[in-house]
Amino acid sequence: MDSPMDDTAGHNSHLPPSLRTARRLLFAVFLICLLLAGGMSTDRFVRSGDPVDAAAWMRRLDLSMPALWPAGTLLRAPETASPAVLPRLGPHDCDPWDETCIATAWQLCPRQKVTP
Amino acid sequence: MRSFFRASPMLLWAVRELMRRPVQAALLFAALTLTTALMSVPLLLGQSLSQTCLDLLADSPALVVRRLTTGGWAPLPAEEALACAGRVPGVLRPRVRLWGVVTTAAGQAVTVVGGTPPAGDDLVTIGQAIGIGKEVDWLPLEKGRVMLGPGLKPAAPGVSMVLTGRVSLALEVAGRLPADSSAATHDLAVVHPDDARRLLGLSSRQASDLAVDIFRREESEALCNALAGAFPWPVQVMTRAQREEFCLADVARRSGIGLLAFVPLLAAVAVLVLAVGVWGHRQRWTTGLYKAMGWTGQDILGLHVRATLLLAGPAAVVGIAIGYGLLFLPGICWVTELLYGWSAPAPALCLSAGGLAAPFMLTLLLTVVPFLCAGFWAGWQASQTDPGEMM
Repeated sequence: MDSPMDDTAGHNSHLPPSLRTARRLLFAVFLICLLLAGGMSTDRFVRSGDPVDAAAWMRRLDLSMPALWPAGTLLRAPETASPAVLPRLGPHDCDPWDETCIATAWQLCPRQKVTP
Repeated sequence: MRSFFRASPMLLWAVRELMRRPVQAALLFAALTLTTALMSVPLLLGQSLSQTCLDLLADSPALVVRRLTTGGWAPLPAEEALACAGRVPGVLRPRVRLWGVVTTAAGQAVTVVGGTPPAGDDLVTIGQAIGIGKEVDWLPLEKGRVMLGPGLKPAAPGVSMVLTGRVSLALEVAGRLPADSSAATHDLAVVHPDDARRLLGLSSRQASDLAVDIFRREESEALCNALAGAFPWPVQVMTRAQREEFCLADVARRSGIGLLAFVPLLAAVAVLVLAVGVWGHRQRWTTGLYKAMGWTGQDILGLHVRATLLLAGPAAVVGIAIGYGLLFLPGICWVTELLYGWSAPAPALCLSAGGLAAPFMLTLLLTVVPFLCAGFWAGWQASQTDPGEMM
C-alpha cells in the first residue's frame, strides 16, 4: 500500500474537514510570521534606532559622550578622569564609591585656577 | 500559495498531528516562544546599546584636550589654547567648550553646556535637520534663559529654574530640547556662554576644555603626542576611540548581567527538549498504526520533523518579535529605567542590519536548534522501530 500522503497529494480540493482546518491554520500561521518578520524589517529601515536627531545635537553642542549615564559620573565624562590622580583618593569628602560625588567635585572645584 | 500547500501534503498532515493534541502543542509553542523572547532581549540589548553609543560618538569631537594640574583638571586659557592647537598640523576646527556639572535645587546633577552663538549657515542646516523653529526656540539663547533636556523638570517655558555651581542662578526656562534627542541631551541644560562661565566659575577668557577634529581616525594617536607637546602646560588628550572603549566596556558589563538569565533559560530549553522526546514517545501507537498502513520510515521521520518545524519556526519568529518589541517599540522605557535610572523619555536605540542578525542567529542556535534536534531524534527513533513493538 502506498503512503497515505500520496493519496492526499494533488487532491486538496477534496480534503477532509480536519485537513482543511489544518490548511487554514497553516496559512494563518504563515501569514502571521510573514507579517511579523516584514514588520520588524520595515521598522528597522524606516523608524527605530535612527539616531540622526540625537547625533545632530551631539555635533551641535560638541558633546563628548551620549547622555545614557547620569551627569557627573566618570562614564559620562571620561575625559575628566585624571591619569595622575586616582579620583577616589581625592580630598573631596566623598564616599569612596560615590562616583557622582567624586566627578562633581572634580567639575566644581578645580584645584588650581589659571589666572588669565 | 495554493500550489505551495498542494505540494506539501505532509505539512498539512503534520498540522493535523499537532491539532490532535492542541493543549500540548500550545504549551510547547508558548514555552518556546517565551524562551526565545527572553533570550533575545539581552543579546539585542547589548548590541543596540553598543551601536547607539558608536553612532552617537561618531558625531562627537575626535580629540578632547584638558589641562591638568597636580590637583586634577584646570580651566584652559581659551585664546592661547586655540592658538597652540591651531599650530599642530592635522588638527581641524579647534574650538573651546564650556561645560561642567551643576546641581538643580532638588540636588540632581545636570550637565550644563554653554551654547555657542549660531554661525551663519550652520544654524540653518542644523535647524532643518532637527526641526528647530518648529518645536523649540532655543537659538540664539539669551542671557538668563536655559533650554532643558527632555529628562529634566520643570519643562514648562517661563518657569524659572535654579542651577547651582560656583554661584546659584535662577534661569528662565526658554524651552525644551526635542524628545528624540534624549540619547544625547537627556539631562542637559543649555545656557548662554556667559551664564555657563558664571556657573562654572570661569573668567571670560577661560574655557573648560578644547575639542578638535582630525582628517582620519588613524591619526588620532599620533596627534595626541603632537597636541600634548604643543601646549605650555600639561594636558590630557582623550581620543574618540578611548571614549568608545569606555562606552562599550560599560555596555558589555550591564548587558552581561542580563546574560545571567541564560542559566535558567538553558535549563528551560533542556526541559523543552525533554518534552519533545516524551511527546514523540506518546505518539508511538499512532506511529505504529501509520507504519502498519504502509508509511515508510522516511514518511514517519518527515512527519516528525515537519511537526517540530511547525512549532519551532513560528515560535522563533513570534519570540524574536516580542523581544524586538520589548526594546524598540515607541515609548518603551524599561531599558533605560532599569540600566541607567532614567525616568522618561526613552532614547531611540539603534541597531544595524548586521547587529540584528547576530543576536537572532545566536538565539535560534540556543533555542530552536536543540528543539529541532530533539524532534529529529524522536522521529528517527520512531522510524527505526518495528510497528509491532509500537502497537
